[in-house]
Amino acid sequence: MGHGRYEAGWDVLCDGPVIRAVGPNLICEQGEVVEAAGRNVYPGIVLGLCAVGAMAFSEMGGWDTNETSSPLVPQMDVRDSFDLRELKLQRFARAGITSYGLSPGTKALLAGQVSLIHTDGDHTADVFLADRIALKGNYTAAVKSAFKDKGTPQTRMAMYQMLDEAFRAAQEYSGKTEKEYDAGKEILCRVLQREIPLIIAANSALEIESVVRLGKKYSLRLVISGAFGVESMIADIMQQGWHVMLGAGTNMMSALKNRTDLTKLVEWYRRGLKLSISCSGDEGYVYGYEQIWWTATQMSAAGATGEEIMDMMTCNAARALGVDALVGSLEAGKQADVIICCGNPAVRFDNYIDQTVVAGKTTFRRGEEA
Amino acid sequence: MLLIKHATLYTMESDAAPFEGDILIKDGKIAAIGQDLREDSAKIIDASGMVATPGLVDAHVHTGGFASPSPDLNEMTDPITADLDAFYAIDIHSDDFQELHTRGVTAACFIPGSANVICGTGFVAKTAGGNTISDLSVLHPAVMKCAMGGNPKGYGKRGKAPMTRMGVADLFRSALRKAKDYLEKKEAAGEDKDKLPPYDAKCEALIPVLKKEIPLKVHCEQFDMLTTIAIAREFDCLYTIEHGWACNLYVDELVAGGGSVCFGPIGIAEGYGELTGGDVAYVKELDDRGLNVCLITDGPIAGPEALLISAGEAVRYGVPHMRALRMVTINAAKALRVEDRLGSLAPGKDADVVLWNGIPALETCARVQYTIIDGKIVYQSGNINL
Repeated sequence: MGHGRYEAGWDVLCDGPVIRAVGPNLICEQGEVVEAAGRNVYPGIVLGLCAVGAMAFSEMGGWDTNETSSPLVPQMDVRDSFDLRELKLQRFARAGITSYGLSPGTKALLAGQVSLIHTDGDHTADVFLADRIALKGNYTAAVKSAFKDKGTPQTRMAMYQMLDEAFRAAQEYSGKTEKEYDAGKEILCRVLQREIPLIIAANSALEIESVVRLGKKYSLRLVISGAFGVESMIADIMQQGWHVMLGAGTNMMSALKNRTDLTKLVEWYRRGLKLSISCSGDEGYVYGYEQIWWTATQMSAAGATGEEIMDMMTCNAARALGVDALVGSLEAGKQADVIICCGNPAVRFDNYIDQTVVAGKTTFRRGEEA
Repeated sequence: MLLIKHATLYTMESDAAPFEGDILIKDGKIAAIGQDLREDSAKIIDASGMVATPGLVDAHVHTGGFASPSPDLNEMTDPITADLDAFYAIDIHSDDFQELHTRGVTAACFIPGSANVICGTGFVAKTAGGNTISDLSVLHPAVMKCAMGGNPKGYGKRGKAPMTRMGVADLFRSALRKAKDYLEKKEAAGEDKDKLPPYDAKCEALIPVLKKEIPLKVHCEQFDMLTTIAIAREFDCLYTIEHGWACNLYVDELVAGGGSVCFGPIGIAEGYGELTGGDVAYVKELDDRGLNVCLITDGPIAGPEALLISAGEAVRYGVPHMRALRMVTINAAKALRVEDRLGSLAPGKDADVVLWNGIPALETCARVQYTIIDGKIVYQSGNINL
């Protein structure tokens, strides 16, 4: 059900796109009844970050998620790059993914704003659940390489200084009564006021330490994504109540560069670490969202239970994005995003997703794929 | 000598059902498999509760030669570099190479990258247990790596051929035709050194291909695989299809062609053109129709753990578990033509064995407890790193 709660024999009543009730012995006089006895029913998978849908990755002109005319482009809104066709090509439903944080790219220090979208819908407007839910930042080697021929930043020193100065200037901006409207600073003010989180990719102990310092300095709501090599800063991250959104380790050698000890991470999780698992995006390669299941597999090998892993893929991810009022658990009032499974697919490869429901509509049924 | 006792054995010999038994290892080879084996002088591993499989075989990696800042597997100065050899580019002490055996991968085919139409020679080697690449080598040369499609078209951006798929195919055919002429002249000359054609290293490297001693190992997606099949037929060569994305559209042709399909890496987002069809579900039909199919990671593009996960994902999307496990063991060995030594547990074969704490490619908790290569324990389990 999300939040680590599991109940046997309960029903889920979906009314249009929303869950109306969850509990034992629900009655539905009109409408379709799905018999799920013997099945496991989970909230749909919430993918923390994914750029697919806004990339235009087969176009020659470069991906639409990476605006690198400047390293600081917080005012970019990923919705403006969204292409419904690209979404419709994907296999999200088969993988049980019902919503995700559609994210700008991996190359600018402050890359733009994240939207929460459903993985299905007839029109673009139907797909978007919430706009401007978070600011996406990147504090990785990818930033340096993106700007190496364009000017600064060339070093992590410069990356830190640029971020620090951006937030300092935004603070100053927010204190002024008379000011010229600055779209970027407006967004940073929302971050400074903790209205929205800063989801920032950092993939080594050094990068994570720098990001933690910045987050503390400006009292930000941080989500550290990618997060390879996060172990050394776990105590600080837990103390701040920040989220770790673990990236896919097999992607383009990303984990190889900075290994993460998952066995320890599982131990930290049991002591209260806010942890979700995500997938592609943080190294910028066009890779599969299905990799969230690969990370789930590795979590299982590291000792996490099936229930813990499902939480990392649903309610924990929704909380990290700040959208847990909408998705990530089976509760009245939440989006009717549901997967009906044979067993728990996180613990056995022959357990499978039987049916995926997005906003009350069945978008996948095993054996009926096109 | 090493004696593994009480393991659940997945031998990968035909579709043999798993059974509990022992493996006796002598001189780097499997000496016996059976119940209640005894050997007083052997070191014993009590593998009760563990699953034994042959070491995993990855038929397509660049591991040890791709890592920045100094990648060494794409010599982008000439689209035909048949004379180059990955043997001189793989650093067995690199971090990515050192990782392979810890994930149960005991052998792999190391090949040049895909920037050129004919990229160069690849070889099969073990992944641990020696100090030099020569120590680890199993078969060299093993394959001639080639590439169709978008990657070699990169020359077009620099105003050179090839800039189209037509151009790629033309260069491919020209190189093979030249090598064929060269070989005929050499054979006609016999012992007469005066009649030998001038030495040509590229043609020399292609002779084993023309003699069917090694296959063309051709990077191709979508309809490029049809071109590959056509060229291999024209020159009467062996071939394997590498990556094979969108192979679902060409099942009849692939089955008729007969070359192994080395599919992967899997799980790409769907785009247009080449970036389509990296769906592991597609291997089922090829396998059902009797084609030899294996799964590949393209390491280090995907990490070595992705090999077993790929087999698991194949199970998730409908491939029977034993068939999926074959795709990362014996089928890969067959695609590399080393199945006499690798890919299954049988007396006489190399003692490359992995012991797991669960059923690999079925239970996600399964992780490596021991990796044994040529009878030596090269890894014992620790924490799981991402």
